Amino acid sequence: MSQKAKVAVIGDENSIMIFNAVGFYTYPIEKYSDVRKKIIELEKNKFSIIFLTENVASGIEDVLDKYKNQSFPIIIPIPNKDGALGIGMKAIKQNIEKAVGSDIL
Amino acid sequence: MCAQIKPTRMELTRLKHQYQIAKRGHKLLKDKRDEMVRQFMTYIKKNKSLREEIEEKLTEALKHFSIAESKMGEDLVTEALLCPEKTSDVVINWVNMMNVNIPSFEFKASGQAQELPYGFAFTSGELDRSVLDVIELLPLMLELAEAEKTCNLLADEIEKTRRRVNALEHVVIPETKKNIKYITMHLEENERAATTRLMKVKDMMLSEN
Repeated sequence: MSQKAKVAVIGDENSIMIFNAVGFYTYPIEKYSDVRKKIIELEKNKFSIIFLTENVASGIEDVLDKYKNQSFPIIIPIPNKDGALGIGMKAIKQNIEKAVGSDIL
Repeated sequence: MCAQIKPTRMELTRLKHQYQIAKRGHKLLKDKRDEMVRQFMTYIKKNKSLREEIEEKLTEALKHFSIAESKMGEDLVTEALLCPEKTSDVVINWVNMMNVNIPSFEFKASGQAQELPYGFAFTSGELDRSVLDVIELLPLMLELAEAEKTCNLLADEIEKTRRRVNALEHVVIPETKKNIKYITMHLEENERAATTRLMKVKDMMLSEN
């Protein structure tokens, strides 16, 4: 079973403009409150991977959790130009704790 | 529980069967859990190192990009990047691992990898560099997406399996054992009662004659 995947990038305009050059769909976000709506919209449009810059991801952990155990869309936090905020790392730690019972790395 | 089961041979056979199945299921699920944890460890290590690498490199690339933007002006950058010649094709394949469906991505860039999607006349070297950096990072980013999803799904499945193992180990198996013992005792007791009754009747018949 194989299909084509659509890849989207959500974030502040200055950070994600560059992904246009490589053929990803980019969706600049101005207000943080728009992020939720955008994710739901992208899910309806059958996007497989959504890269989300960490600064816009910080307020919407509940949305990230909701999609965590579904196959799609895969929401991946990425750093923006100011560097990483540790949201992605936190998710890894959470996974370890969930699976093993304690943080062993 | 004991009060509700009937101490009959039928029930005993049923419970013994159930006990066998529970033990077998417990062993299988335990094996599944152990193997999944092993797989999970390899993926989570990969996930961690990939994320560290990407966080570092992408921040760097985006920094160059913002320098390029301030050098060239926002409009020019937008103009250069807005109409991409390249399209990135990502193909999803599904892999079944321990009964968990995990996606795996294959990245196919159309056009040449080292080709920039705009003309060189109005753009700066910084922009070229950052775009090339990002192009180089793309396969890694997809790998990260794959690893992270795998870890999420595996962690979820491991938790579920662990619950099942625990439920079998601490509830279902002891309970069935207890019930089997109860029925066996009861049947033995019945047997003894029958024997004594027979002996009694024999005595009575002998004394009557």
